[in-house]
Amino acid sequence: MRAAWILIPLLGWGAACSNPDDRITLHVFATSSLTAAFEEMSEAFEASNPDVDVVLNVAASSTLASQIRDGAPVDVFASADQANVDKVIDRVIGEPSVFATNRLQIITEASNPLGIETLNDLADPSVLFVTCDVDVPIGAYTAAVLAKAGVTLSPVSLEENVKGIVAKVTTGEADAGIVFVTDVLAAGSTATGVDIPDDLNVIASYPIARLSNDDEAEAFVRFVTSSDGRAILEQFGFGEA
Amino acid sequence: MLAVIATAFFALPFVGLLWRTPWSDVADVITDQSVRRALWLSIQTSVLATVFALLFGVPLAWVLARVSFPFRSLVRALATLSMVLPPVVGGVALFFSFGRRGLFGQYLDDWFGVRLPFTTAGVVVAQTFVSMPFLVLTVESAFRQFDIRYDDVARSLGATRWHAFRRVTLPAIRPAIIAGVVLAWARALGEFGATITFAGNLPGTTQTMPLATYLALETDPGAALVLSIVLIVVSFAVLIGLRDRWLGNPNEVTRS
Amino acid sequence: MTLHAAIRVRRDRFDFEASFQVNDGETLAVLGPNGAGKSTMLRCLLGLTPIDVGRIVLNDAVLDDVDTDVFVEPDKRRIGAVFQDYLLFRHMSVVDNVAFGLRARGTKKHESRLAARSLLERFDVDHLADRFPSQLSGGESQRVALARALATEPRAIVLDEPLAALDVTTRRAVRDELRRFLDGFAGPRIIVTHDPMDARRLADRVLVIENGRVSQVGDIVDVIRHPASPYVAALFGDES
Repeated sequence: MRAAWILIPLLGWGAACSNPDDRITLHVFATSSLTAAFEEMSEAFEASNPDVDVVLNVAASSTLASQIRDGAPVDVFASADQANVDKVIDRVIGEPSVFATNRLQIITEASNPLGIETLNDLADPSVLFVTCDVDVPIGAYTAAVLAKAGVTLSPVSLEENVKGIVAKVTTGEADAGIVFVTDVLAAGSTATGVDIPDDLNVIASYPIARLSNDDEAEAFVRFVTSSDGRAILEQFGFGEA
Repeated sequence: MLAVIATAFFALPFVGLLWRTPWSDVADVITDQSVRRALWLSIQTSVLATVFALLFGVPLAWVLARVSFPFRSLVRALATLSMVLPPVVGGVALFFSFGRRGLFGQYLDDWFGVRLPFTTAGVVVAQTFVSMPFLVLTVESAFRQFDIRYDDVARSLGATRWHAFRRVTLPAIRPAIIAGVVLAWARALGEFGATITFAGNLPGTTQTMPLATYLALETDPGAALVLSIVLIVVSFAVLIGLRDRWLGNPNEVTRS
Repeated sequence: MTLHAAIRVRRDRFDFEASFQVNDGETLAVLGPNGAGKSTMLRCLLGLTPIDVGRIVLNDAVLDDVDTDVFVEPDKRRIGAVFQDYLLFRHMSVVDNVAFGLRARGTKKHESRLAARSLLERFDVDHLADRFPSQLSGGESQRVALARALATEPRAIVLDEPLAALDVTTRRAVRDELRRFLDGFAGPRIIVTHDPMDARRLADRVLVIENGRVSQVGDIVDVIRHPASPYVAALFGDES
């Protein structure tokens, strides 16, 4: 009788434990500007693939590339620029494909209290401008835009990723930054965007790459580039590939 | 056996670090201007933070140890809270209270034109915030253990309270003060989370060694290794320099 | 010159009251069981514990007067003290210990040390001048403590259990030394002790405190002959 008291809970526990082979975990590394879009993307993918769990890791593309280089388990990598995919090209399976584009925009606090209208306005010494280091995609793109416009700025801080810029500006800590239009959109009423003229702007191309042979990885990439995936991206303000 | 494991636990990471360091690149990295700037900034800010911790921490420790007042435990808990908090949380707290739009920060800006975030002063504030508790706790404990009768003796001999404090109490707790200073300085030097959240990250102004090391890890791991070695060497040098001589018992000083 | 004291201290359940007087050249021994209030009394005289009722006057200087709200800080009272366990400053050398009082009053280091050394000579411990308290024996520590208290030329002197820290063999010799020293001190002297032998050998008058009240005071000889309480009788039991 005593044995039964031990066996029954054990069996119950054994039954409750799901067979690990039944559920698949998909590790998706996505750049910061894709935060909201890829959260919805993952939910949609899980909805049509019930046995897949998408684990989303969001950070600056450069941070993600670094983690991948150090051997982090990853199935899919969506970056904001090709440069960071190139850093891990030896782990990429097949060819990366561009799945979305983005443009840059100046971001200020809600209702733009300082009345910033052009890139030149950012050069005013009293304006606290923040950006990212150049190995973060937005940092590189910003440098390119400023070079095109012939404007030199002295940022007061180099944030870790584009969301860091958004945070500093929306809390009023910094006066302005340059981010993606999708980020301004995502910030909603807490921020105001100021357009950058097309001739000075850059088009950011977002490549997506497969880093594992799992079928699910390929399925995910296909989903992102499908019409459903593109609809989600469009909803968040991304441009066509 | 357990002691051996404990020692290994502390030693092995350093062995690994030394093993992977690209020794041929060391010279290049060390002479890089951004590295020198980060190191100099770290030293300046951590020393200043330690000085503030000492200036404000010793009186606070004395009050906590000797004066009984309502909510004393609460005050002590507050003073040492930043020690148990994750540094980032400390940074967030500083951000929302002393940032430009912070509860107190906005007055700092409006009335005095003083801005803390994105400045070296902000780095010192962040470092002081996280390191002072170490000094307060160490020194308070020493004050408590100090026999107050020595104070009575000094006063009966004609010493004012201040004279007695300076000549009798402080020298007697010198080992604790030194230990507190070292702990506080080490904590300030290694401070990262609160610094990057509150002060920001800009080479030369707010990019201290820990920040530089963390960021280098992404772009240039070899440089990160070298930066780590530099930090370790500097810290080690200070700790070795102190030795038991200073941390030991003042009675044991002998004169010829 | 005299030391007058009429003090009352009330703290929670502790209630102590005593009135007494000690003249120049007179040694008063204060005896009593533990907790009776002897140490409190000393602390009041020194200004380390405030009194609730009464006054303390040394010669013509009022040190403490509750009615007129006069309170002289401990560092200004000019009453020398030797504490139980001597409490020499462990981080200072012997000469610096003795010089401490002088330095605290503003005398320069060099002069203080000179004065300290000559005082140590008087006590025959000048050879210990550069040693540290941890290196001294009990008897040596006592002499240094005395020298330290005398360095500031106090007008009265109080000693709290000056021999308690010594072992039996040393105690007798040191007691005799202490006697000689006390004889040479001009002002009023008070010794707190639990040892009736100390009272016999060192004091002219005795004050006995029990339960916070003075149970007997008077010439040592009279007290021994006519004990006023069982405690006093037991104290000097084998003497009469």
